Amino acid sequence: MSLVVRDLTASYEGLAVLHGVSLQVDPGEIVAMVGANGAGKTTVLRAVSGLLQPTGGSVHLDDREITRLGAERISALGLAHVPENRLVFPSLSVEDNLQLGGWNRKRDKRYAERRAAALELFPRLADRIALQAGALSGGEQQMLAMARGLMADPSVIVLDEPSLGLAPKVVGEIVAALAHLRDNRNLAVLLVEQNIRAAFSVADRAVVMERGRVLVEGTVEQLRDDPRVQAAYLGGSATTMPEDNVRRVATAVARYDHEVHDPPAGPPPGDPR
Amino acid sequence: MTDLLQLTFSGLAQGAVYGLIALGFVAIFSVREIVNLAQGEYAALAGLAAISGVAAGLPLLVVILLVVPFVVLVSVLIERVAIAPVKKMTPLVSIILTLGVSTALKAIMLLVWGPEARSLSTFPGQNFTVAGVSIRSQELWILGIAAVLGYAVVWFYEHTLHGKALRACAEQPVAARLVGISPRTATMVAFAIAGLVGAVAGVIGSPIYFASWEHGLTLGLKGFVAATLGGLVSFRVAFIGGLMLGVLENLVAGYLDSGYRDAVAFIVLVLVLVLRPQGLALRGSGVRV
Repeated sequence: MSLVVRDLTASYEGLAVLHGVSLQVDPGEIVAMVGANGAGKTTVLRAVSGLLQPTGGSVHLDDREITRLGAERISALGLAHVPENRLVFPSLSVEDNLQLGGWNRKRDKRYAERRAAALELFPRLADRIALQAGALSGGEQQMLAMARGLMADPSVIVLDEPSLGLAPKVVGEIVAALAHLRDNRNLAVLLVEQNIRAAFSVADRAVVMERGRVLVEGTVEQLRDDPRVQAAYLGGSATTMPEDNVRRVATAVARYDHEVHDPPAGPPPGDPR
Repeated sequence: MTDLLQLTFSGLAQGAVYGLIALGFVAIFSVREIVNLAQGEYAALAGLAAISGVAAGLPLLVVILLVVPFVVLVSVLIERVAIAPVKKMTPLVSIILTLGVSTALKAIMLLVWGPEARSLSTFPGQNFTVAGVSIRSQELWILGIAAVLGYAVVWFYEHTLHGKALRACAEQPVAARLVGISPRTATMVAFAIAGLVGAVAGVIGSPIYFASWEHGLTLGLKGFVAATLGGLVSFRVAFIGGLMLGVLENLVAGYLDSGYRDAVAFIVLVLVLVLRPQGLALRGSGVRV
């Protein structure tokens, strides 16, 4: 499945954060999305996976439009979102986390198969299968969050800063796992990263975001030495954004983070089961 | 000594009713941070409806099988009508809303059943005396049914996929949505569980503790106090808190003055809020079962 995003706009509490973002991720490729803090990378992922209702534009999985669906529906349609900060279920065991990852697929009989594939990808989790997820190290939690996402058998996987706070060795393992998913399972991977070196080491293409827009996109080879990438990454050109506006966005986003568990307004998402 | 045993035993039975109601508070609060002050009304409603059913000549078992699902339905309807439409729910908003629901339920019960307290016929069995402690068969029914149901609720949350999904929803609502667990469905299920434990508490308790239109608020507040012992998120501590509260009340009423009985719960509440507002459970955040 391809993930196709067209002219996506989104806002937090009336404050526009995305101003028409378009991008496409095809099966068997990794697209890295980079940019300074506040550029709207996380917001793109939230709007794509249905955690945030977009205010305009469209999101498609192949020909199927998912723009107005809630997150709990979209996960059943083949898109997995591995969120910022992992968000594993801390009091539940690793096994339970995996099982809940397959919540939308709980009726089919291939649970054991997918579990085996996930544990093969992250053998460390197999050793810790009975531990509470909250007792895992940061890297293991990241692996668990990815494995949990894979349990839903997605065709498209979007990841929000999987390398955040992890040791370089662990980042390497995660990057290797992403390459494996692309090469052996033909997944479409959209990777949001601050760690531009890690992201570019594995990605095929990259999208550079700035202030809610796509500044430039291209293959990794084209962009590797592009001064605009460095500038956007360092937040250089973001200085054109008034300081208080940056703060307002940050506050609105923080408030939204606090309330995000309330289902979005609009058509009732219904029960995907 | 006999007095102590007697007071403790009958306190345990009363406490089991509080414990079940406390489970209802935890079931809802742990999923959505909603304090459901109508929780006690479920017990009053179930008690009164059961009394009417028995008065209409239906066998007790049939009455129970009708009344419990009825109250579960009422609880789910309350969620649909009063909770689901609210966009930005906070604990405070939920308290105000469910206080309104509680008042409305009380008014309906007053209109339907009138002001006098009634009692349900006791369940089958003989009262007896062991070592000078008189034991009412109904108290054994209460303890037995409450223990089975309490254990079943804990088992549901610990060992079933659906129970784990509710815990997931409570711990990481965003991640729960991302794996496909609908917070709307989870809230409805939580209200159904709250309705179930409240209804059973009402039916098993009304033969000896009576049921009346105004009975629910007191029961609910005592269940709430028991639930706060576990920080409103621990089922085990909430249930045990209910038992302890029942015993403590009975001891105070027996040794000091029965007028102080209802004050006990509130003294406990004040002590908990001052000394350990996060509850008596030991661990940090998240649902404990």
